Amino acid sequence: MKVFVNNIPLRIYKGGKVKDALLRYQLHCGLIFEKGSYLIQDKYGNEVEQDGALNEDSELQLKLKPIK
Amino acid sequence: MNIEMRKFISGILLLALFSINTSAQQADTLTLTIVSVNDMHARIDHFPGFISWMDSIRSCHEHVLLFSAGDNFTGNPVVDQYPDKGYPMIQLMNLAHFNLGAIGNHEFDYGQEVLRKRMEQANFPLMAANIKSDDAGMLQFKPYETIDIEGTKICIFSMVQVNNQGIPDTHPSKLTGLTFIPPLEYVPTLKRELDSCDVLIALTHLGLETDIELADAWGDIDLINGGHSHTLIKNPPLQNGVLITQAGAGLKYATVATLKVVKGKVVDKSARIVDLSRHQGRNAAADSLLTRFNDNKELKQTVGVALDAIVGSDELGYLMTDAMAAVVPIELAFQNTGGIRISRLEKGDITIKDIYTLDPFGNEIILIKMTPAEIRSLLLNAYNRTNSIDLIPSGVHYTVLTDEANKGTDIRLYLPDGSPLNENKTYNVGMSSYVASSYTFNHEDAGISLYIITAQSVINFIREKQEINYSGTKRTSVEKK
Repeated sequence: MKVFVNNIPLRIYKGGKVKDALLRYQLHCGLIFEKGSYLIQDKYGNEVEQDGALNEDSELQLKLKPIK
Repeated sequence: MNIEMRKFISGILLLALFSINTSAQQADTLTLTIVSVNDMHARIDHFPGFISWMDSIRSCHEHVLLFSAGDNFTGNPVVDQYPDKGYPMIQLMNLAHFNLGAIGNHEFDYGQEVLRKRMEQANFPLMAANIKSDDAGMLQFKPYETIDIEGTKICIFSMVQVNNQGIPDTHPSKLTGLTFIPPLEYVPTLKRELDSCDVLIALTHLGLETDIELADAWGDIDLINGGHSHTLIKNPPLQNGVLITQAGAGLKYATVATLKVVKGKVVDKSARIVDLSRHQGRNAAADSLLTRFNDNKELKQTVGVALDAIVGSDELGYLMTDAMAAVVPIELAFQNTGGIRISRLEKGDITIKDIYTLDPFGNEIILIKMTPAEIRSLLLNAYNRTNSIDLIPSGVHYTVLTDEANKGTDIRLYLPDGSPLNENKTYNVGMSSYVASSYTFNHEDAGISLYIITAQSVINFIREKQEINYSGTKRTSVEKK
């Protein structure tokens, strides 16, 4: 199914979760994020957990946390 | 006056008396406190703090209801492998005095017979309006519940997520004999059946996006306590006048909604999220149960015997992929070496705990239909990540052909009997969700989760075989061109 991370369309398997979309995003963009260094939000700005379910065309935003 | 007429008049009088009685008992103003959690996923370690916090909530508020918006089970081996799968969650939820629960997709993971037993043990109903059983002897789900508090009629209905295949996200074999109605299609029926409620609450396991659609379709709902998308709604929004909440996952948070009801109508409502880790107290009874559950003898149970030590990522990988390939309809399977977390299994008894130590990540098995050319692209890309064999196979053997710099240039594939794969055939390939999502390879089919945890497939495989031996097995090689 197709989902979006930071407006990038990505294809993941049916039943894929937030963590699968993030893995695909990192692969697609050549990025590696340290655990805990980012925040994942849905299109409404709510935080979502790694095991959260996704639908076709779900939109996620990945935001890096500021370095303290 | 004949008998029929007397009966009719008596009926009218009784009805009038009942009506007067009800309205006389209805409180002018009622404040309801609705606590909801969702997607607890068997996180029993959080219960002592949660129950203590609930005690505090109940001590300060008069009318408190406690709801779970589904997915109570799956996610903790202590609960998932308990002799009565899932029972620790039910016992702790009973101790917490849950009033109602919604059925989530993962409630089916242990099978319908186990769910039936858990539902019988629960002191609260697990509901779903959009599930219909094919016959009366099967699992039956209450669509909704009505609670009367001081004459105010509170109706709570539940619905479970239905995916594009027309079923909730769990293995289809667990859903035999059940029909699932897409949630929004079932709204007109519920509207007819729930048209006389003072307070209307949807306790759903649909995900936030569908909860928003539900709110748009039915603005009479006062509150949606949702789950499934593991969304942490810190500032619960009003959508079409409907207050929507969801509290992340894993019992780290809870939502507290307050509904003020005046003369049978909700006149004010609000909700806030509570970080349960900030609560200090612990419930002693829950702590005692937790100690007992965590000393799970089932995890120490022997599932089979290794006739010789299973050594290294090759042999351990063969065990894991053979287990995957034993799941219907998988023909070939691959496991990445990074997902193999021990270096050996000793000769002798193999316990469930050993399997979870070998494979602790909770990855699911993904089925992807692949041609031999697509399989080569997977294997070649995997090899070139580290210039070494990374994917351990079952159902197929392969040789990586490399150049002088040890870079993989081609893959020679063959079946275990030495014959070539059929280049015109599409094979049912199984792999972990991690490989499916984080490896680069060509594949026309996006794949689908079988909703089976890889560790569970290993447990099932060893139980079935009883004795395993991978000594001397070799399924991969590297050859310089």
